Amino acid sequence: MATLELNRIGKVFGTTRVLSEIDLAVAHGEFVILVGPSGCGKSTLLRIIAGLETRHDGEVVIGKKNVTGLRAKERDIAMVFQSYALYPHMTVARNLGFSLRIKRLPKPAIAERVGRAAEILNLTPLLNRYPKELSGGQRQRVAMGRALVRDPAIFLFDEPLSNLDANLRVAMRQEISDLHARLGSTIVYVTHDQIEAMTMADKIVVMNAGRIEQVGRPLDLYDNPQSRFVARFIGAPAMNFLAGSMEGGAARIRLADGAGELSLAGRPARSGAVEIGVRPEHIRVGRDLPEAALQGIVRHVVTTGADSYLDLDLGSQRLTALTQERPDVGPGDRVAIAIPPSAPKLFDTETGARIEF
Amino acid sequence: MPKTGLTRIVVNSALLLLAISAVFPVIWIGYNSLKTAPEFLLNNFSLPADPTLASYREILDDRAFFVALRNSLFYTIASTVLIVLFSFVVGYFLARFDFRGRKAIYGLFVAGLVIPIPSLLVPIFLQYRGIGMYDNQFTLLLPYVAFGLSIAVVIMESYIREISVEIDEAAHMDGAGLFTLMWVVIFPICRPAVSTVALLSFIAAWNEFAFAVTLVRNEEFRPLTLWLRTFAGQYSVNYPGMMAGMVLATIPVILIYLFFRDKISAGFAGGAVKM
Amino acid sequence: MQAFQPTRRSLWALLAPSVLVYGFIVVVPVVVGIWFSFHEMRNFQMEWAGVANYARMAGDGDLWFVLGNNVTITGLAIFFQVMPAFFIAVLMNRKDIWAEKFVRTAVFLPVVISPVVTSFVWILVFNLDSGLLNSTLAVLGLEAWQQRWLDDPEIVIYSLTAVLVWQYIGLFVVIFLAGLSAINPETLEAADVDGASFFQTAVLVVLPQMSRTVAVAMVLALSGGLKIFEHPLVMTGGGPGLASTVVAQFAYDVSFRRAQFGYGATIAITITVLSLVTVLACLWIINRLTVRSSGETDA
Repeated sequence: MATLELNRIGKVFGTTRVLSEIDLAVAHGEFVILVGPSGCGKSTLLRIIAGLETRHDGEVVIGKKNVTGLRAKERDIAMVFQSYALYPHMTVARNLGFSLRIKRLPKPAIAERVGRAAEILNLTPLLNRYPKELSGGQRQRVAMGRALVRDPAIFLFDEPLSNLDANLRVAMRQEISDLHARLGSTIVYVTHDQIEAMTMADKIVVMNAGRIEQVGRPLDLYDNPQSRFVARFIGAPAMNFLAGSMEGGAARIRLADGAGELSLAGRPARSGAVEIGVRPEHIRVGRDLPEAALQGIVRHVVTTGADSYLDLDLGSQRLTALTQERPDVGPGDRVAIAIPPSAPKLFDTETGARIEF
Repeated sequence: MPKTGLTRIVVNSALLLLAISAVFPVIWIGYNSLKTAPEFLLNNFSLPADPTLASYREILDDRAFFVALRNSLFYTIASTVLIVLFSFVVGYFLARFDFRGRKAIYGLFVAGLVIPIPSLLVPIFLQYRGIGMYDNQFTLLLPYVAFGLSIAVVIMESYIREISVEIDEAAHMDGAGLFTLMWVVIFPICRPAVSTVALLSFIAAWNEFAFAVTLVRNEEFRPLTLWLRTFAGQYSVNYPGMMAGMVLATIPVILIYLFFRDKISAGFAGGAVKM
Repeated sequence: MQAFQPTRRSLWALLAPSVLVYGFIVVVPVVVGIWFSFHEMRNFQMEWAGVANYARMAGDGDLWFVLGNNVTITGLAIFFQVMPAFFIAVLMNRKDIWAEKFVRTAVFLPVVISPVVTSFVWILVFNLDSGLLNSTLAVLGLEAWQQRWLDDPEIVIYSLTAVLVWQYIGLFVVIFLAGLSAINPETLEAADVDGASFFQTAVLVVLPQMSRTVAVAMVLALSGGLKIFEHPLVMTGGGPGLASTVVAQFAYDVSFRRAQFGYGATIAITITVLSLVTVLACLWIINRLTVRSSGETDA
């Protein structure tokens, strides 16, 4: 186990800059997830940590050692690939033990370490099977086992669950979390799925267009997004965004098209147009709410059992509300909408930056 | 397509007729080689009334046949092994690495698919004569390897390209050097392509005649195709003898073909359209 | 660049054996051939001949005649080999084929047999008195149809073409079968439902989706026409006269029988360049034309 430090990492493919000025510190035993839309540079960053992407700016430090000039095989890193990259002509046991065989460990030592890894991952009955005889989830576990056997300084995961079906993905998320809790390993994990990030990470790194948007613990990102991008990316259903405008020093904000006003818990100094972000679960909807300041019309009602989603028209703007109560309203109904003063987050219309107040 | 009974019968009969006409000449040679010369001249269509191996015995008494057999085996096996090794290395490098000259190398090997080989016979003869490589045990090896490489490189390169590069990266991260990566990890994965290349190379070298007739005079270095030509010339009236020689020279490729029919036909067809 | 890529020096060191062998056999001869084409043998010495050899080709009636033989064979092969192979493949692609394994095995078998052997097979089939063909005709009472298949200068070129078609039609059938397997079978069923006949289906539905395969097969037949060498050499030696001589053997005979190595090399180099240019031009055009409309994923 070790720490990882990235200093001013930059990468250019041809004429496109895919990463710029990435600084990141990963503590000993920390589970860090890089998340972002496809093309944000997260996989490239992971490959730079791995040493698979060679030409880049900045430096990679593992433990106390600057490994920037070292090749992937010299960095004491293990990686779980998106396609698993199992060796198809080797049994599970030989797949797991391949790196040890290359290190020329004695056979009994290899068998012992492979056996231990197999036990941890419930692979013992499968040791003599070939990859093509395994299910997706089993292959995934072999890929993790191959990393485990080596006892590396850092584990890297490149979208490891993207080839699994939804149920298996949930189960594997749990397994990876358990594994991390048990081994206390340092993990850097890449995914485009914010739910994976929210459920597993100690620390999430949200990336966008080759830059880090925000770094923080999952709930910090959820509650305190520092930009419109993070606010929109984290959370499902996504945060609502409404256009509005305000006058400096007032504790209220006017929605566009005169659809009404929201109260705020503070008094922002800014004036002019802003974007208002409101999480769906903070919106209350009812036929008659005493605290309601807004009126809207129901467009759709979707109920999944525990949760219900209400699609609402608020003037010319749309928003989605989430409730655990069975709604007693239907499409076309005129309803009252309440948004508590603590709920709205404000963002700069131009830059998307958070406006604190 | 209408699926009436009549169409079905007509179509199937036509295809069977085609199939029979493709193999009948070969079968005809096979059973007539078991006749005596007089019986053949009397009736060349019927099956042998009293099958005899006399023609075969005569050939197997002839040292020249075994010399040619040994040479054919040498040229075929050596060139097949070399083509597999060379084409794997070149195919791997072309598929995985980006280096200056990569496109030129690929183009060079592909050009070999298009060049009419017979037109190079005269220049190669002149070149061989000029440097004294003419007429020895290794004379034929180089052309067999070189002309087999074109298709082999194309087959290998396209196969390796289909293998996820993450496998190479995983092996690299597991600590494998280039040698281990190539021969312990990727080569075994390429087994289907390797066997296609091996089969095509084997058949091509075994059947080759144009280079043999141009570059080899000495009887000690003749492959079976050259032996057959001389042998058949000697027996211009003993047709069953000639046929026995043809059967012996062909039986290995026919057996290999029967065992690996799909792989071989797919390899030929795939290679042909890869131009 | 891959993390596991070797240094440039070791990369080229590992490529060297293959590239050197290949260059020595395929590239150097072209250079040697070009050098010889500007020389000619006189009194056992190569002397500078300028462009005399090239000038001589233009006025060489024999050369043009044997080139005509190549053209005849190639044209006939496209008509009797490529086109039938397409329809045979469409037929074989049906589901209700009797003895399918046998048919598939048999049709391709001649492709893998050495041209020397098949040439001898057909020498025996075409043999005047005891050949399979003439004796079968006699049994059927068709003595009038008997021919001197390999000895009649009017006929020999057709006999030769027949052998080539017999030997290589299977290759084209398999090429087309591979192309067929890449097109959506539901389009054939749709044509069936629409009431198309076999030929309508083959020409209007299958052919357009396989245009690239068909075009490449044509190019293959075209370049194959210049590769003919062994069959006439073994079966007829190019005779009678020049009746079955093809251009490759002509270059060969000029060099080895008349010891005019310069002129032989000139012809050889000209065919090589001609063939390369034609085939590459055809392939370029095909790639330009068929990228969009082809139903195949990859040919």
